[in-house]
Amino acid sequence: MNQLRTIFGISQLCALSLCAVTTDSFVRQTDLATGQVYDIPYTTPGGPYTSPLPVSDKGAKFELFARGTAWDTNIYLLDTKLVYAYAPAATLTITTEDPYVFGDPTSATYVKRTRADRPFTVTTNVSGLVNAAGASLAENSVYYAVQAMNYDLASYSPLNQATYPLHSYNLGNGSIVWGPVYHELTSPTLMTGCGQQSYTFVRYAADQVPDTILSQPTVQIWPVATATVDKITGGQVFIDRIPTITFTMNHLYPDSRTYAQIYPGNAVLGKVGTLITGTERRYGTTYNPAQGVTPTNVPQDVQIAIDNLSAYASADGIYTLEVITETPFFGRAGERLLNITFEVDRVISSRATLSTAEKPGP
Amino acid sequence: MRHLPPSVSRLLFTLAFLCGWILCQLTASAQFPPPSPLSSAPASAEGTTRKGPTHDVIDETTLRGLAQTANQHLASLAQKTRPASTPPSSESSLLTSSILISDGDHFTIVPIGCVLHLPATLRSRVIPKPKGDVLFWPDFLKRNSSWITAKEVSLPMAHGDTKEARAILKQVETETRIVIAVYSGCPITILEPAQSTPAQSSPTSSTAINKR
Repeated sequence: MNQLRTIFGISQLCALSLCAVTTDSFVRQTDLATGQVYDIPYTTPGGPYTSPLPVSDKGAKFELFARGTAWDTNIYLLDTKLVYAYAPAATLTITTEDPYVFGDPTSATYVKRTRADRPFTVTTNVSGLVNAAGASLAENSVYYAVQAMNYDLASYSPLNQATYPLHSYNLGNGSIVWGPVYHELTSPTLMTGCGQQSYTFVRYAADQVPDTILSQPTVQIWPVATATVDKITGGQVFIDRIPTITFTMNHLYPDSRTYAQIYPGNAVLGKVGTLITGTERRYGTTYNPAQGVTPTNVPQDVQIAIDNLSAYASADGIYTLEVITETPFFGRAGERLLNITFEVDRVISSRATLSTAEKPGP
Repeated sequence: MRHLPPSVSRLLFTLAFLCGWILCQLTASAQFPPPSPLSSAPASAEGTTRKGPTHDVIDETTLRGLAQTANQHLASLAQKTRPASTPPSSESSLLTSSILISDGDHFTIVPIGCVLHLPATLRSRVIPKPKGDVLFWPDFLKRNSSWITAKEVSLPMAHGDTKEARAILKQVETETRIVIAVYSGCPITILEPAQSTPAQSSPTSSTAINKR
């Protein structure tokens, strides 16, 4: 029986999570009665397997740990399961407009992402608690905490960044839809929000079982992209060749396509202009479907110099220069990050030549 | 030099102006060639054509208004919960229930209480906190088998059977390598006997290192 329970517990754990992790992982089985620890290295992702160690009558805790990928050498708790007489189950769903998810969304620990100006929804589901009068805190509640961490805005890295609490509650059985809400990071502005919010369920310690993390998914929040251009301002009149201009595009979303376009006339929202060659940047597999480009997981900052803008404005007149970004948000419709309307009027040069020619002779 | 008749002068001036204007246009067109057809045509993105932007990116003031309205719901939703007065630990117990062993470049994690034998010369291999890249047990063992080894134990011994423990410990006491207890190849805690006397409890040279 105990062996069967072990198989069940581990199978659940594996079926839920292991298919998404690397071979650098292991399951830690902790006997709830004795505290005995047993580490099972896991080298074959996916599929159930049987732990050789039986589960005692008091139960066991199974934790799945894995190291980060590539440069990330941290060890992460990916999933936890309690095989126990009564074991509360707590799941949390994060819904954002970005379909990206890192890890198995049905496991205890996964990462979603969104942009600082977009709302998202968190749905909590708790079951398996006891509602009877006189039930202890561990029997009638699970602890639910929302914590946040600001990333470095230049490197987009969480390294050496501190977490801080946002909310904490005790939840009973049932489902609650928290949202849609916006991020609550303590960034200087909402638009520059860059970090993560984590949602942790903890089963309270009881009956020799220590406080146990049941679930800890995370949503990453990336700042809203910005675009600026130098050497050109709104309303400026160019009477000669337009100088080399430099676009500075910051916080380009990791799943995005961004480019500059130009068209004759004043700014008109929705107008398709001429794409300025060399300004287009594509990130993520959606915009690089066949190129095998390594997916980008953090925003990108770029500077692009354009020295032939005059080629796009060869005739005198009014022109509008725009920077547009497409992301998973708003159905991948274009969003205008920048628009500048300027004028090209080279006839002034010609008139100047004419007036020189008209200088009366002796 | 004789003056030209006014009509001829006007004609010559007009011709000079026209030549200058044409030259100017030719120079401009040579200096600012039109963009190539490739760049002027709407490019396709992952098979879709470009569409004009539907809106401007939001500004901070508008976003603050939206966020304030939306996040007000959090307060009303909190009424469905109970206040959490004593936050439990939300930290993983991985490090507090583990022993960390390092080869200088990598470290590995094994369960607390699984070190059967720790020669004095190798005590520095046990480190208090992670340092370097992590390498999980089987890979770490392969890499460092010259100074660390595994000893298969039975479940009764892992549960504190002193008779078996004595036999195993006698086998490893002359070992020059660190010895890790494993069951079916996986590191396991060796429990002390439930009712042990000081003479019976985990009489290994590594007892201290097995406790945190």
